[in-house]
Amino acid sequence: MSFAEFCSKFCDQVQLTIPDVPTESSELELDILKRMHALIGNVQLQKNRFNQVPMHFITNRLSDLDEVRKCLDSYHNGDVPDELLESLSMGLYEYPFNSIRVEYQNIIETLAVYIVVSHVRDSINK
Amino acid sequence: MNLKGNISKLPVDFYPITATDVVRHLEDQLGFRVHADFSVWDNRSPWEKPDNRGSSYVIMRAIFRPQDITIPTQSQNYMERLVQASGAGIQYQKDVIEILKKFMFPQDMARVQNMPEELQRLAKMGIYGERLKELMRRPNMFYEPIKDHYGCYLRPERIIYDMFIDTDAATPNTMAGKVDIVKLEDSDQAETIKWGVLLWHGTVGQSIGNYGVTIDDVFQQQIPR
Repeated sequence: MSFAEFCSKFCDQVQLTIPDVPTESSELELDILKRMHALIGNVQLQKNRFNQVPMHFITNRLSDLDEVRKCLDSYHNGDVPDELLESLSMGLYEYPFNSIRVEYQNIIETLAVYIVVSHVRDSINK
Repeated sequence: MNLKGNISKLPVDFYPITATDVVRHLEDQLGFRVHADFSVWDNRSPWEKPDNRGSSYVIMRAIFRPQDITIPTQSQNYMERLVQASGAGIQYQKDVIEILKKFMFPQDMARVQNMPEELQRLAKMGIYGERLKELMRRPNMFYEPIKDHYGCYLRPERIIYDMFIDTDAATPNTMAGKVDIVKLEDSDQAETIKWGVLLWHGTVGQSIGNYGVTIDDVFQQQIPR
């Protein structure tokens, strides 16, 4: 399954609108920020080919939905921060999250969940 | 088991990587099927024992369908169509070439002719003579007009290293540890070539003691291996 297909199945395919995110200062934890920049770097070459390439390292980590839910519940009031969605969208596609099409939003949402799940799992294992 | 020496075990994992794993990883990166084969170039002289392999290099050849790697152009102009059919004026898909570049030989491969030390190093690995000439002739992607396919030589060891990138690291393209390809099992069939890869976690080969000087300050040369 291509990564884009996985993302559209993983998310609810609803066009989201997030509130404006302040750009002056970041409220994201340093570890989340680092993971975000590393992930953007790692998938940069594939970003125009998400409808073709699989991303096993992401899909494997998100395959256990119970664990994903557990990780999200224990983080940031059970939600993915809007700032993470916005920063990922700008970092990968150079457009604000609210302005991109739903299939691209799904990709950004999946990447954001992957970052949060990785962060929570690694902080538990430390 | 109890060891006489007061030594602690280094965490190291062993991964057997097959040629099929290498091709599959390349296909995952590119997003389309790749046809590839492998050959072992050993540097064994004819008078050496058959079991003395010395060091060998595995070369990978890959071929691609035009629709996977080029930007389709449908020119109405006869001359342009003719030029495109001969493989000239082809526009490659930038993303695909960027990915393949990481695993290709250096574009300026021919430069090694003027670098005796590099030539010697390559010869030790089994890359010399006609083999080296072929790599120098075709370091880039090439087009075979009769078969209408594209091809290139790739470095499987680069693809193996790429497989060991730690996707949880704080910076992109960080290796999961020190990666050593320590073993090569070749066979008559390209598909059953197998590499033995060690993945060392943590710091390996650190000098011990603290005298305010580094070992390299005292010893001008590295220990020959």
